[in-house]
Amino acid sequence: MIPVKSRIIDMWNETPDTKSILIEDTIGKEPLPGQFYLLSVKGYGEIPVSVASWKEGLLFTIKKVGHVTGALHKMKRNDEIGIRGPYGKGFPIKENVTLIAGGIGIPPARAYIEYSLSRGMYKLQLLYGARSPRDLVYKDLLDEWKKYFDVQVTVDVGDENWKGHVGVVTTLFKYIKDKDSYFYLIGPTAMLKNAVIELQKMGVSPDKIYLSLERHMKCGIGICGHCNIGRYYVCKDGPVFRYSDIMDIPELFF
Amino acid sequence: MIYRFRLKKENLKKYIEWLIENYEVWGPAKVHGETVFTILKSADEFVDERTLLGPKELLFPRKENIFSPDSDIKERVVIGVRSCDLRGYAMLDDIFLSGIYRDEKYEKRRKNTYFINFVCKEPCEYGFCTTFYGPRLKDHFYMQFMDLGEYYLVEAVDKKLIKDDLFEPADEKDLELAEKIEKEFYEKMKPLNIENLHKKLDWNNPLWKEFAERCISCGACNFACPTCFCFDVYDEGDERYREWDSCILEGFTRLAGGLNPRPTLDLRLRQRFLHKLKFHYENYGYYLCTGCGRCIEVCPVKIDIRDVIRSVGK
Repeated sequence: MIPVKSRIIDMWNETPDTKSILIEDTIGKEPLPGQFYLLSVKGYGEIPVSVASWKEGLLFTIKKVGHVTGALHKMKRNDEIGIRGPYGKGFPIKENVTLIAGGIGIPPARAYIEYSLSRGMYKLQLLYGARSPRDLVYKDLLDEWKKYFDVQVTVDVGDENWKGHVGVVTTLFKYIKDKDSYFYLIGPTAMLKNAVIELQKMGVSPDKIYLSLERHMKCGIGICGHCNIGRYYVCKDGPVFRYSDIMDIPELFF
Repeated sequence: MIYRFRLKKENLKKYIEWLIENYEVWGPAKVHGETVFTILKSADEFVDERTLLGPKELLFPRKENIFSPDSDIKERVVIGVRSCDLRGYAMLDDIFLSGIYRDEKYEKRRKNTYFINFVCKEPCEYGFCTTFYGPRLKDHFYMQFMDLGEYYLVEAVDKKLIKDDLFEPADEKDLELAEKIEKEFYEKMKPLNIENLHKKLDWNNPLWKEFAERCISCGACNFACPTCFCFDVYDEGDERYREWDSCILEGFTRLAGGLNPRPTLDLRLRQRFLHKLKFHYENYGYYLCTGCGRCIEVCPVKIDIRDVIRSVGK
């Protein structure tokens, strides 16, 4: 549970409340898409964050929501930061995947996309929803990815310049290209809940749906008990679960 | 291999004095009128009584600085721990010493702590240990003392703490007597039916809501439990602490931003009981409970885990 010392290589704004932080990988263990690290800010604590990319360091994209994320947002280049990980079980690597990301669920989707593209696996589709155009992250990448596979983006509320889709991410489901693909869902609990309902209405089998779950975590290694759902620990047995394995747990969505 | 000896009751004090000369010795003693585990300075302080709280802190401290270097934990003896508590610590071992993580400090404490458990003579008010492992352990003990009248039957897995001039070999008759006493104990404390409890227990048991009407969300049940292992991690200045936590508290599962998977007390009580009597069984093949009854004893509103066990199979 002792973090490894590292430092911030670079950091920049993605949206008004979201920053990307590039951290030196002082652990040197290549993660898998969907896995997470615990980022540690001295005097503030630790938080679990899914890794978005690992090309020139570990990249995390973090929305300011609480005590530790607030402290992270105030940090700057070359500041010391502690890291632990990579932890948990990520997404299984499959040939044909539809990624559905809501809000700050986009970083693990990016990790999966980069992993697939770098291995010549192009059978992908991305459906991405954000609150508003200014809440969209990785805007340049979204255009870049369109060269390789279909990307659909929607916002809950548009603005005068927005010409794309408006509505929650499930309104994009009519654009799903392959109902026989695997479906990887990352986002807030309400989105996950609606998405699995809609996907099943379309005839998608629960064993082809994978969810990345968010829970309060402390240890990250399956002992402290905070992220327990049913017999599982989200940090150790997840955060990515096959829906059919957890669909009977009443506190899955909240 | 289990070695069996007799220790005359009149020699218990001499034995404890010998332990104190050689080790740091913890045992139940009267402190301000309460029986608590403390370092024994003389054998006279020792009382063979069940304490309200077991000595779990000696393995898993209530609060611990995880950044502080591994302290040198000297060899110590804990005498007078109850079998229900000790059996619970074997379950903590499965958490802290296996899987993907070995807690080095826990391991060091575990290795250097020799538990001498005392077999209870009479059932206690809230205990139901006969449902699980009973007052006399068959395994997972180091040295076990059982009162046979004039002397103790001492069962030990090694002879490190056997002082030759005080101990004499036990014989078959001692074992027969021990079994007779044990049988009588089981007669007085009838085991509850736990067959397939983990399968029968339902997420929607009406007890969760009944309990929630009474529970004051104090977390005493967690802190008194020999098997509860959940902890919080937080920073104070440049230090990071690990501290016992409670699944009954509202903030236990609350996410940054305020959403909470278990916002109401009935859901948190459900988690506590299902974790002990269902989920842990599904993962480890045993119930996370030794029937010590401490959670009932310390509960201000007497929420009773036995009611959960009895509620199935009716």
